[in-house]
Amino acid sequence: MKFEHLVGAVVHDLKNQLQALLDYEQEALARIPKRYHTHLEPILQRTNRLKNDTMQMVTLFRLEQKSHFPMDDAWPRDTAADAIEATSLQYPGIRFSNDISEDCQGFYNETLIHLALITLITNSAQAGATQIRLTADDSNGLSVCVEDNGHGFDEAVLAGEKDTTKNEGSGLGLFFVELIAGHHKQGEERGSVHIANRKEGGASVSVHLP
Amino acid sequence: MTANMINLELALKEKRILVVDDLVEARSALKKMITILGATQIDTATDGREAMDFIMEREYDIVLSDYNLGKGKDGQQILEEARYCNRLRATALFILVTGENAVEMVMGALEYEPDNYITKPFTLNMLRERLTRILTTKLELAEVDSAIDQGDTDRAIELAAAVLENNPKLMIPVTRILGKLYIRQKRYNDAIKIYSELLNKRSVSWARLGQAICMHFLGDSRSALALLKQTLIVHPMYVQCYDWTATILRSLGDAKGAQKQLEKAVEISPKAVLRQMELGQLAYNNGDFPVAEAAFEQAIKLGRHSCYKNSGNYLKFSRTVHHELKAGEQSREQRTRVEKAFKAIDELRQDYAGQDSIMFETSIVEGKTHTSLNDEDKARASAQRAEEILQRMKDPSHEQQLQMTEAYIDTGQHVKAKKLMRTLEKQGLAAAELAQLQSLEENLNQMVIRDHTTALNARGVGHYEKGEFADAITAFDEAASYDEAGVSVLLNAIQAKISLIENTQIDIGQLKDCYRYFQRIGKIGNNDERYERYERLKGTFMRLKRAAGL
Repeated sequence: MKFEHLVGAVVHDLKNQLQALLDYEQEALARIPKRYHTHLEPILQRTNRLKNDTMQMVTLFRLEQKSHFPMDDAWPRDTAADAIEATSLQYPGIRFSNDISEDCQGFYNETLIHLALITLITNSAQAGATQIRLTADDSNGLSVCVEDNGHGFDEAVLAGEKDTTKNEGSGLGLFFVELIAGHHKQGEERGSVHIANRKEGGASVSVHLP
Repeated sequence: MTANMINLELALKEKRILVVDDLVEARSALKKMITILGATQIDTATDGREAMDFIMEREYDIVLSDYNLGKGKDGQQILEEARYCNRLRATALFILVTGENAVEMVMGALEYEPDNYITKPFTLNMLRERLTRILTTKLELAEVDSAIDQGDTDRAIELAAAVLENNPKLMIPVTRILGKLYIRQKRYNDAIKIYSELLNKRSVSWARLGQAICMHFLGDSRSALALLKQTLIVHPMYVQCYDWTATILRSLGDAKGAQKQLEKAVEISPKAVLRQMELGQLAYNNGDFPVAEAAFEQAIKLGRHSCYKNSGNYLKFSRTVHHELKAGEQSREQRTRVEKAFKAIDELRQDYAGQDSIMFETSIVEGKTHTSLNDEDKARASAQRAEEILQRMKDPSHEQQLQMTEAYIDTGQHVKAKKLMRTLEKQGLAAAELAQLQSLEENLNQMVIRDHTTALNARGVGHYEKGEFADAITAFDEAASYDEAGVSVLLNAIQAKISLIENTQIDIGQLKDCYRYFQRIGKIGNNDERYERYERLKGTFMRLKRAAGL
C-alpha cells in the first residue's frame, strides 16, 4: 500500500469517528437536564471543530490527489444554511443572516463549497466577528459573499504579501478557499476569491465561480 | 419559502417510501427524520435482496437507499435492477445516500442514474432542504415524466423541449431527460445540439458521454472514442465511459481492446451483473477463458437472487470451464473448476427442470465436461439424456441438432452422428451452420479413420504375437498409411519389420520404411513412456543399417 493511501485511509477514519462522536454527544445533550449542558457544550464544540478540521484535511488530501469532485446543480441558500448550522454550535455568540435568495442557483460541488463557507465563517469568528451575513448573486456565474464585523484584513494580506493575520488556527483558511474556488472551472475560466475590508468595518470575502 | 417551492410535508404525506440501509441506527435515524418531515407510508429494508422484494411487490414513489450496503448488492445495483425490471416509473424518485467519497461513483451516470443523491452526513435541516429541492424539480418535470410513463416519447420530447426553452434553471435535469429521449428516437443531431449547449455553460461528464454516443451512431466512431478518452481523464471513475469505449471498439472489430475496457469497468464497479455478462461473452469469444470464467461466475453469483438470473450464465460458465479442463490433471485448481461446473449444472437441473431447451443444453455441456475429463461412460450417459430430450422436442433448432451431432462424435457414436448429419443437410442450413456441419464432418471422418487404424493395429499385433511378421507388417503399414496414425502404430510397424529382418534376412526396402517412420515420429523426450522402446528399436535399426552397408 502506498503511503498516501494509508494517510488517506487514516484521515478518512478519523473523520468518521469524529462524526460518530458528535452524534453521541448530541444524543447525550438531548437526554441530560439543561443545567448540566454547560459541561458538555465545550466538548461538543471542540469535537465539531475537530470534525471540520478533519473534513478540511480529507478534502485537501483529495484535492492534492487530483480527485474528481463532480459539479451539479446546487442552491447557495441551502449550502449557506448548512454551513451556518455546522458552525453556529461552536460560535453561539454570532448572529448569522442568510440573505441568499431561494431561487439563486449555482453549479458547483456542494461538499467543497460547504467546506469553503465553513472555513470563511471560522475565519470571521476568529477575527472577532459577532455578525456574519451571507449573500449571493447568480447573474454572472455565481458569487457568494461572506461579510462580517470583525477586525478586517491587514494591509499586508490585502496586498497579497501575507496569507494570514491570525495567531490561532492553521492560518491556511484563505488558501484552502482559493484552492476550492480554483477547482471550479468552466471552459478557460476558473473560480477565484476576492477579499476586501468593508467601509463600515469588518471583512468581506467573495467567492466567484464561473 | 417562495411560492414555487413545494410544501414538503404535504408532498411526503401521500408518498410511498422505501428506506434501504444495512446499518440499523442509520436506517431508523433516516426513517425518523422523514417521519418528522411528513412521510407516513414508509417501508424499510436492510439489504438489496429485501429491497428488491419490496420493489417487486409494491409501487414506490420514493426509494431512499444507501449506496454502500455491505456484502450484497449496493444501492446502485438496486437502482439498475429496479429500472431493468421496469419497476420504477419515470415519475418515481430514486435517491442514493452516499458518503462524500462515493459521490464520484454515482454522479454523472447517464444510464441508470439516480434521480438524485444526498451526501452523508446530513442533519434534519439538510435533508429537508435537499428533499424540498428534489421534489420541487420533480414536480416541475411531472408532465414530461408522465408522458414517458405512458410510452408517448414524442409528447415527452415536445414537453421537455418546452421546459428547456422556458425554464433555464432546469437546464441540467431537462437536458438529461431530453438527451436520452432524442437518442431513443435516433435523433442524434438534436441530442448533440442540446448537450453542446449545456456543456457551454456547465461541465458535466454525462453530457460528454451523451455526445460521444451520438457521434458513434452518426458514424464518427473515432471522434467518439477521443471524446470518451478525454472524459475519462477528468472523471476516471466514470465506468460508463469504459462501457461505451468497449462497445465502440467492438463495432470497429477490436474485440481484444473492447475486452480490456470492460475489464477496467469491472475493476471499478464489480457488482454490475449485466457488465459481467457482457465481459464474459466477449472474453469467451476472444478465447480468454480465465477472464470469461471469472466474469460468468460473478454474473451467476450476483444474479442469483435477482431478475438478472438466467440459465445462459450457468450454461456459459460451464461451457467456459470445459475449455480449461485438462484430462488427467490432478491439480486443486482443476478440482475446484470441475466442482463449480457440476454445481452450475445441478443448479440448472433444479431451477429450470421441465424447460426442454435448457435441459437439453445442460446435458450437452455436462457431456462436454465429462469428455474433457476423459470420462467416456458419463459423457455417453449425458449424450443419452440429451438425445432423449431432443427426441421429444417438437421443432429442434439447427443449432441444437448440430450440438447433438457433436456430442455423438465426442462419445464415439458415429452411426448416429452420420444419420443426424444427413437429416440436417436436408433442412437448408445457413452459411455459418453449414460451415459448422462441415467441420463436424471432418471430425467424424478423423474419428472413423482413428477407429480403423486402431482395428488395423490390433490385427497387426495379433499376427505379430503368432510370429506372422509379414502379415503383421501388412496390417501395420496400412494403419501407418493414414496421417492420423500415432507414434505407437509407427513403432509397432518398425518393430515388425526389424523382427522380420532378424528372423530372415536384410531387406533394404523394409529398412528404408523404418527410416521413414522414424522421421515421422521425430524426437521423443526421455520422460515419454515410449522413450525406452524407441531407443531400443533405434539401436537395433542402426545396427541392421550398418550390417546392410547403408
